[in-house]
Order: sequence, then C-alpha cells, then structure tokens
Amino acid sequence: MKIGLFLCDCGTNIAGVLDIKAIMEHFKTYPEIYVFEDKYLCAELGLNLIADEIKENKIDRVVIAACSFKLHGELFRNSIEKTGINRYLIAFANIREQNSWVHANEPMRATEKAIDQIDMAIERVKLLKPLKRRKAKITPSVLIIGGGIAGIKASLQIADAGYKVYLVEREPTIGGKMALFDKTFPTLDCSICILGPIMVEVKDHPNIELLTYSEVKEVSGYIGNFEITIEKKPRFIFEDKCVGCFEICREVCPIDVEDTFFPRKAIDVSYPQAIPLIPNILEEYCIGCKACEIACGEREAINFSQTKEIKRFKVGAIIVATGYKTFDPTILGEYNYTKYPNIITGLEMERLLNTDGPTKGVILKPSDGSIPKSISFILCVGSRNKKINHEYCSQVCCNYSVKQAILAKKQIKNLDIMIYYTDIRAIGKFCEEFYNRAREEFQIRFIKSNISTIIKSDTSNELLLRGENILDDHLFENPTELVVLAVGIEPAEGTEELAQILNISTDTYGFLLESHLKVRPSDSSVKGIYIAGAIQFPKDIPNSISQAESTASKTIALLTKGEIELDPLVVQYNRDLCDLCRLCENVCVFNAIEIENEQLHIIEANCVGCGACAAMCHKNALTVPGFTKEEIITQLKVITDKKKESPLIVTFLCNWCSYIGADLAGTSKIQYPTNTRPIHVMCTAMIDPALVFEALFNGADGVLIAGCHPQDCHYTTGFIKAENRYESIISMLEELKINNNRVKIISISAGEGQKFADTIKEFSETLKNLGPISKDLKNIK
Amino acid sequence: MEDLKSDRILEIKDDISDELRKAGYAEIGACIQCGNCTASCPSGRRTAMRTRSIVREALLGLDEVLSDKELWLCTTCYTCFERCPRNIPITDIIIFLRNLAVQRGHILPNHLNLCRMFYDTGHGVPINDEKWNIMRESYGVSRVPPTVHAHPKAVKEVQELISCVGFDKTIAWGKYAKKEEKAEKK
Repeated sequence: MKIGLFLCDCGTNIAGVLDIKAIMEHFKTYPEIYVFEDKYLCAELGLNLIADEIKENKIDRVVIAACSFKLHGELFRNSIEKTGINRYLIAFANIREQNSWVHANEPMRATEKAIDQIDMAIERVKLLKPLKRRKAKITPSVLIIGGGIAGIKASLQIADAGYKVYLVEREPTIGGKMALFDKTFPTLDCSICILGPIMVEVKDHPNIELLTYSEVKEVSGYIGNFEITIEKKPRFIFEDKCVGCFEICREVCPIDVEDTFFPRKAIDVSYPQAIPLIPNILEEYCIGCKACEIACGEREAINFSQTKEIKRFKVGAIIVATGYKTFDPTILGEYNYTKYPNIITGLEMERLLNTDGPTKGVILKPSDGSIPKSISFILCVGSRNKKINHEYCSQVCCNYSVKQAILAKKQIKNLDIMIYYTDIRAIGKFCEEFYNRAREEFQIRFIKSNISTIIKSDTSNELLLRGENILDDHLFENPTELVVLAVGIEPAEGTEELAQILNISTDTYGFLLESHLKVRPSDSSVKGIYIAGAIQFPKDIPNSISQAESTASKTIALLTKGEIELDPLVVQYNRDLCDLCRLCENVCVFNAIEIENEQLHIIEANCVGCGACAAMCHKNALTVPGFTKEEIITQLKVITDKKKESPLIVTFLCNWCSYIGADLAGTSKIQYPTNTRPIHVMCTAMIDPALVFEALFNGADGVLIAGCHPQDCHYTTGFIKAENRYESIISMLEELKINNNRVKIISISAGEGQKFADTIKEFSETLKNLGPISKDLKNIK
Repeated sequence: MEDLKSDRILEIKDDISDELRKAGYAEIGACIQCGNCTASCPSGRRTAMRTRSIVREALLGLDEVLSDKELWLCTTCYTCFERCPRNIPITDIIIFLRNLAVQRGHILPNHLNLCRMFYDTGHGVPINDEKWNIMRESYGVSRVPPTVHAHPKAVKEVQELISCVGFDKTIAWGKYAKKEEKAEKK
C-alpha cells in the first residue's frame, strides 16, 4: 500500500498559521507515505500535481490535508478517479476550517493538532475499501415552493426547457409580495404591470401545474427521487366551473372583512390581477347565507361542502422560493406602532400608494382619512439591530423608502417629507442616482438620526419624533402627521417548519442556509434541494430574479442528466457474523432491514446509511463503509496514544449539521481552544457507546457528541437515538465512577458556528476543573 | 492662509478605548453613532449630557471624556443600553469611565467631599447635626445608631480598608484635596 499525502498551503490561509515544513518533515519519516505540498491543491496546477505524483509513485490511496471536504471533497475524489484510484480510497484532514482558521493565535499547538488530524486520516485511509457508486434515475419534474417573483421566474424557465413543474403557493394567488407593490425602485415602473403578464404566462403554460392555496406537508426520498405530499385548502369553489367573474358573488356578500390595508369580502379574490382568478371563501368570516351561491346561479361553482385535498407526486428536484415577511415593529415598544394609527409600516404605505389598494392609491391618514401635510420615514426599523437578533441589513428599506417618498411628493403638493436614517445604503444598479434625484429634484430632506421614540403631542394631533441630529449634537422633537416605519425583512412565516420537512438547514436568523456563500449560493444543505430569492437572505427584485434563473439552470442541468450517481453509503451485511439477535430490526425506521425465515435482508433502496443499526450490532455484522467501528477506533487510537493536549476532547460531528457548524466557526474565524480532535460521522446515531468508552479508557479527558437539533435530523430520529444512548452512557459512567460530565451531547446546527466554539470553550473549562481522566480511571480498579 | 495641522486624533497616545477593551467592553467598537442613546437619555433632555459624544470620545481616546462634567450627569437608568441597536452596555461603560476618570484625578468637588466624609466617619452621609440625634431620641431609639458612629474604633478599620484597596491614593488624598479647595475658594 502506498499512500500519497497531499498538503495544501491554501496561500497563507493554512501556511500562515501551521508550520507546513515541520508537518512535512514529520510525515517524511513514515515509510509508506509520500508527502507532497502545493500552494493551492484545488487549482489546476495542484490537481495536475496530484495526478502526476499518483502515477509516478504508483500511489494507491490518498490523504488530502486541506480545507473542509465539504468544499472540495468531490473535486479531489473526481481527480483521483481519473488516475484510476477508486474514488472512495481517500481521506481528508480538515486543517483549515477546523484548524488554522480557528487557532490563528496558537500556531504551535495548531501544528500539533494538524499532525494528529493527518495521522487520523492516514490510519483511516488504510482501512477503507473500494466501493461502487449507485445509479438512480431522475424523475423529470420539479417542485417549486413559493409563487412569488422568484418561484414564478424559476417555474417558467424550467417549464420552457420541457420539464414538468409543480408550483405550490400557500396564498390563494401567486404573485407574492411584488404583486402588492405600487411601483418598483429605481425605475418607478408599475409593479403589477411587469408581473401581471408573467403570472398569466404561468397559468397558461402547459408544463406548469399550479397548486395555489396549498402547502407542502411531507417530503421524503433523495436527489432525483423526492416523494411529495401536498395539502390543498378548500376554497369552497369548484375551480373548473368558476369563470372568474368574481364581481357577481362578491357584490352580494354581506360580510366586510375589516382590515385597513387589506379589506375584502368573505368571498373575494385577493386583487383583480389574481392568478388563478378564482375567489375563495374565508371560513372564519362566512355566515353561510349562501347569497353568493344564488348569485352564481346556473354555473354552480360554489361548493360549501368542499374539504381539504391531499395530492401526492414525485419530483427530481425541489426549489424553495418562499420569500420573506416584513418585520413586526410591535416588538420595539418605543415606536408605539399599535398605539397610534398614523404610524404605519413600509408595506402598509405600499398599499396606500397602490391603485388597487384600500384608498385607490390616495395617501390618507388611517386615523381620520385626511391627507397628511407631513410624512416622516424612519429607516432601519428591525434591521442592523443586535438586540433583537437582526444584525443584518435588510438591503431594500433605504431604496423603498426613497421610492415611497418620491411617490408621495409627486402626489401631494407642498408635502413635507423627512427621512431619518443612520446610513443610506442605496445598493443596486441606478439606485444611488435614484437617491440623488430624491434630494435634488424632489427636495426630500434626509436627517442623520436614529429615532429613539415616537410619542403623541400634548397640544395637537401630531406625532412627535424624538432624536438626536448627529451632525450638530442637537436634540429634537419633530412633529409629523404620518410616520412610515421602514421595516426590515425576515424569513417567510413557517420557514422553520418547512426546513424541517425538507431536512435543510437554516442560519442564525432563520433564513435558509446556502451550501457555500460564494461558490454554491443556491444549493441548500441537501442535494437536489435548491434555494432562490429572499428566503436565502434579503434581496430586491432584480437579485431575486437572478438567483431564481441561476437556480432554474442548475435544476435543468440536473434533470437533463437523466441519471445520477449516488454515494454507496448503505449498510453492509456480513451473514457469517450475524447471530440473528434482531436488535437492529426495530431500530431502523426506514424499513431497510427485513428478517424472514431466519434470514436477514438489507433492502438497499430503503437504507439511508445512518448506521443506527450498525451501532446496535454487537457482532459487527452490520457496517457502514467508511464509518466502521474499526475505522473510528483507529482514529481514536491516534488521538489518545500521543495525547498532546490536556484536557483532550474527542468530538464526534454529524455530517449534516454539526460538521458544517464547526466549518462555519472556521469561515467566521471564531477562535476556540486547540484541544479538540474532530471525528466525522454520518449521524450521531451510528456512535456505539463502546466507542465513547474506548476513547475515555485510552486517555481522552472528555467526549463531545454533536448532532442536529432533534427536529432537523437528516435521518428523522437519529439524534433522538443518540440521546437515548447517551442516557445509557451516563448510567454506565456512574457505575464506573467516572464523572458523567466527561461526556456531553449537544445539538449544533449548520448555522451555529458560534455555538460550536462556545461549546468547546465551556467543555474545556469543565474538563480542566475535573482534572485528567487518569484520576477517574483509578476508581475502576 | 493658515497652515493645516494634522488631526489631533492621530497624536493621541493615551488610548481609553484600549482600557475599555481590556475591561471587557470590546462591543463599544461596534458603535455606529446612530444617536439613539442620546435621544433616549432622560438626563440629556435637560442637561448638557450627550451620550453618543461620550461614546465617540471614548472610542477616539479623547481625554476630555474623562475631564468633562457631562460624564457625571448619567442617572444610570439603562434606557440607552436597552435601545442600543449594537447592544453596547453604554451605562456600564459610563460607570467604567467614571472609575477611570477618578483614577486619573478627575473628580468633582462634591464627590471628593463625600469621599472625605466617608474616610473620616465611615459614612458617606454622616450624622453631623445634633438635631438628628434629638429626633432619634424622640422616636425612642438610641441617640447614636449602632453603626461606625457608635464605634469610633471601627473608623480606623474603615480607613484601613480604604487604604488596602488604594482608594486613598486614587483620590490623591490630602494634596489633591487641598488643591481642589484652593481652586474652589478662587
């Protein structure tokens, strides 16, 4: 066996912290190892070096010590495959995200950690076995969740390419937020005039099946083969009989749904351009007078006995484009949003400006319906605010406020407009020019001040804005008649639930987490599920559309392949070792294990490779390739034999959440102690308690098991199984008189880099106080 | 034409923001000078106190942040901290700056008197008027309360404690006090 160790400097990213020379010298003393180093292994030159050296030195196994395998793992696998080595005979040492980037101030210790990490990879690669990839057909259809501008554009592009699209929208109409706007910045063209025709195109497209008023309830399967369950809410209308002459039924309905900004009848359409142009009856408001049924007459389109429908279908890929909701300013009590009707949000202002809105486009004060003489805009409401975990800039508020100010100025003569800002961020093409026009042409005044509170004047009906004019240290209480809070953007309602259904990750703010911020911005954490639009992060219309189109292209590229190669990470069964104890049978929730007539069968198609069964198997008859007990123990031995740190922590990281979370700590450069040695597992459920004791008995001072939050688990109940096993680990520790604080289980999502760093810090402290493990092990004798 | 001089900020050596960082107030660096703190300040609405300016001067390391009387006008109501979008513990920082100010000899005469009172009697507000003793008697309690007042020896202990923590030196006892007194008389 000849192993090639390829070390990457990554410019100064790795070499700037780690002593690469020392590492090379160390490994050159190993007889079976060939060591190579390059400035950038992932670049063309680096990859060529790998290929050349493999051929020249007849290398048959490869260790890559570089960035996280989550970033370039596939690239390196493809490269060695080209030289004739099986793509699974490779192991990775993550010495960037989980080393040099997080230990920048401790180069010596970091170098020692890197040597351990590489040693672990070397020992692991020795045990790996060649595997064959599985092939699966791709269902040539796509599910798109969310019928806003991003979902609409993606649907049309994919449908045009000839693939079937299921477009699911929660509201009764597609169009999303864009359909509610009056004009768009910076061009001031009418929003619905651009959007309306595209919405009609969606309705008429033969390849698009529109599922409005529907929600995704269940998703199972994998890339190329997802099984979808949709629940369609009852409209109480026969969609095939209704012709959309909605005035007739609406006219006779006696129930006004009172809403200042979204008024409607109990039977109504959302707005006249709605697609599909079919009204719905709001169950909670309808009094059942059936006047609409009589008005509808012979068409008989109204159906009071309609119930929800369930629809199931298969798709090859999923695009999530669920968009955003606006920030609810009631949480900031000092703005008195609910107390005074003349304080409105940006979206409500948009309704006042819209010709199809409640006031037919006339700006009126909600308190008395009169025309305001002055309007004040407050920017950054709910944005750039650490206190409420909204540290991000919402990207669009400056621009939409400038737009609304201009539109208001155009409408009302001698209107006095003030915009209170902290910083103006007129981002986007032609937006700075737009902002300049607001100042030059429309004489809108901009005051640099973050308003601290809005109160009511004692002497008049006006509102008073209290603030400090930053530029002259001057305190003011400025009167105004109408206040517009430029509220920021949050992930759409129900994003958390949807992320759980899809098993994809969210970031610290609840937006969907992309696979890589720069090079894979539209991939979610699960293959075959993509993201588009403002559900990834606040975006304006042009940016949402750009991402929708790129996501659509990615999806088309996937579907066009027709077939996909999958990692053969399914459990392997050795009949000779099995004693048919049947412990594995119940632990599998995917029906992948079947025991009939004293014979155990693995149903490969059902197996997801979580390894929960393998952890239960006391005979080692069940194994997940790459993650066998032998392969994990060999890594543990490397760590504990040398024991370079005290306290020494062995950290198991699950593939789907915690490993990515630990990587995120790296990309965010959050520093934590060097005394942790990460071991990658597919799921925390595959960790046999014996492995934890193996670590402790051999000298690890503590073991950290980090997995998904239970509700996010990629294997549904994997983390819960790990938690159950943790209980038994704890009781065994107690029996052995080993302090039970030495083993810790924790949920760290892919978005929780900070939490990972904090956990390591805290756990180190705990273990420091407990002293070395040898103290506890004495008790055993 | 007058010659342009370099910005005095470039010349500052005494870095107050370094002290703040050392004390664990690194968040102050995140201040975006939005002014919400000043506008939220109930004291600032009636006095010359400008919270944002204090933060700015502290960040830039301007010495006047310690010498200005403004620093002592904060009522520690914590409204600025509550509304700060950067989650900067402004009130705690002001208290820290006050400590720093005193360490560097910036103390208001009234505060100095209070400290002296405390040093002399063990009380910041001692019973220094016979009428209080009479009033106590009328309520049926002892003329002198069972505090340091009743135990003159304990004053020594208080003074010892004060010198143990170096507070006597911090306020430059004696020499500094006399200087202040002179200044006041003028």
